[in-house]
Amino acid sequence: MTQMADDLLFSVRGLTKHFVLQQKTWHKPERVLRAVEDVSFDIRKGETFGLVGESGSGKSTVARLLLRAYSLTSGQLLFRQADNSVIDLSELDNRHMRPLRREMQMIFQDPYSSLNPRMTLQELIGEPMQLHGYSEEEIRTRVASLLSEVGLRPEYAARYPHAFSGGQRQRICIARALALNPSFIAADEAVSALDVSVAAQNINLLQDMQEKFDLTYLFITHDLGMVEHISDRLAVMYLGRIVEMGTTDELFAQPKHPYTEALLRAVPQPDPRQRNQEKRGALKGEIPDATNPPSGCAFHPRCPYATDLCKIERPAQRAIDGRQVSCHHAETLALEGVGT
Amino acid sequence: MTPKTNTAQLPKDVLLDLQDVKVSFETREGTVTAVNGVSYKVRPGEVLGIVGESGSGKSVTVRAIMRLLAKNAIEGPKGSIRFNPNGDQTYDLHELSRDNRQIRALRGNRIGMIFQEPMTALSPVHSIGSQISRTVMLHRKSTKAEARARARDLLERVQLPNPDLMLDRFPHQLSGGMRQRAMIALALACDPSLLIADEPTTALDVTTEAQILELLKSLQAELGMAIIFITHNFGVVADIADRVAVMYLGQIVETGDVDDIFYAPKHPYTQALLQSIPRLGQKKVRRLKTIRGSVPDPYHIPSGCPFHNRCDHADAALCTQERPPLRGFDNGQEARCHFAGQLPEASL
Repeated sequence: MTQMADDLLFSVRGLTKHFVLQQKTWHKPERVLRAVEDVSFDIRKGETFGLVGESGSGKSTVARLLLRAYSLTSGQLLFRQADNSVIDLSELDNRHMRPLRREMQMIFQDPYSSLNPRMTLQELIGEPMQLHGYSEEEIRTRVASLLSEVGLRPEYAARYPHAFSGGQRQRICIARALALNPSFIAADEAVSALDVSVAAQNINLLQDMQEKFDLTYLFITHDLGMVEHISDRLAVMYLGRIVEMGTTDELFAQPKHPYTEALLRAVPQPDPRQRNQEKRGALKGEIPDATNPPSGCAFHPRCPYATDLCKIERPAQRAIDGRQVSCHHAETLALEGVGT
Repeated sequence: MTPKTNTAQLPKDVLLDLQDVKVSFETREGTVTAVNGVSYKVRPGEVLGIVGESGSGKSVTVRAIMRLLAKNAIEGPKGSIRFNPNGDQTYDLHELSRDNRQIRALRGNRIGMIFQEPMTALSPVHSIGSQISRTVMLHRKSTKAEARARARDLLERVQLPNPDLMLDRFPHQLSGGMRQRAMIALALACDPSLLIADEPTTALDVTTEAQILELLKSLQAELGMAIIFITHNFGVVADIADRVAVMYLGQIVETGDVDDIFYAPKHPYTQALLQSIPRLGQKKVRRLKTIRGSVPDPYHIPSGCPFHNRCDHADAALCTQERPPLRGFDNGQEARCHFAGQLPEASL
């Protein structure tokens, strides 16, 4: 039997996903997109684990791998089931995954495309329960209670999604994700498409649900202010790899990887008096092509602190002061965080 | 019928002056009023930030300036949009139809515009270079070679790598950030006196967003055009704007200098918005402050003050009945609230 520490829900080791791209011409070698490369992390029970990085860094692919929406290229994916037994998801086929799907759910960014416009809320929220063999009567009462749980009226069950605003639709998605009493929810940019005031409401709702139903979240976002607010621990990804991981407070107060610093520097602060402060370590250029990553440390072409070593050798991930960093110079750099 | 145009000369220090602009749309479900009496001024060389949630009418207002409203749009009879591009001749854009000769001579020439999604705003079948040089040739009597040289110069100015190569690239060959740079080059092709930027960084990553903001700021310092910068992100406004207008349901609820808006907001909506954004390095709070309810749908705009049903300070008798007037303050700040200036201080 596979083992992991008692307080963990997920234990991920060496997670890798390569996509083979379609060949444009038969005589060229096939191109491999290395979306996720040797990623390892743990998610503790009841915590919110944040995942940040630019688009193309592999955040969403990691979430989809955890839920086994994709098959793994390699790696180990230990998951604690509701009965406390530990199972390696990487080895399961679809048939064996199915009973486990009730324990893990996902919320997507765009509430307009993630709800079928031809289904009523009753059908949308009831569908997962139907698939897992609940009775009609059970489904009806549970949908009503879920709707009121997320702050919508139970009478709305007969309506179609077009009658609701973006924020309300996202609540419908939350209700659907909660339908099977999962232990884990992956929220992929769940509030990024919403207006400021509505995003705040939905974040509060997610936190209330977490407390009430003892949920564990994987929270993916590019909004660093939001991730600082909601997540306990955090991993920063760049080009398919985790470059830094630790508790959110420590990581933001004093980053140890230049990429983390650059991300923090880039966030425009809602404070006009900070506008003319010198932008130290502002990033130049863009995230490279994942089919052709740079040599050595993938971040070296954009890194203001890069040395010759960085061009040649890929830094190994190592533990420094209770966090994981992949940078040759992590110990010597004095990087700037955001003050509390 | 001759339209009654308002071409009274604007003073030299006013570039654009909107008075009582109203735009509604005729739809199958009824009439929607997207912009309900918006007035503002833009001075030469200043950056006016317009913030608001979706549906507040910020984009429709600038489309009215550009005369690019949808065909089913109905404009209010009393409005005027006066534009004074060179300081000596004033046009009333409000009276011009979308394909009028005058507006076609101004659009792309004296007014440039950049959009949120450069992939849909740029032509997919023309190279970057030809899109820019055609704009230059249309508005300036220059030869093909001169226009191409100008295009190259512009691409260099927006810091695209290898401008000579970029001239012959097509939009789909560029990344999002590079496309937005090409779009800025196109908008600046004829040295406009006004640049309208409609959510230009919303679709970009934070790192690219920071680069584009830096670029816009340096171009603005160099070329001296005024910018109307539309965004829903308060961080971006704080970074770039000199003055800010906050919009809600088709009205401007508050305007003021950027510092006053952030440090001494007078309208409860501005106050509540500022408190609902989590900011970096802030002390951890258990819950974010929120504004209750959601933005009402535009078919059912509340009576009186449109914000009264979400406002913590609303007076049941006054605010539900009477539309508040714009209240001015000594520092130039204005707020559309019955209680502006009497509310408890609430800022960052």
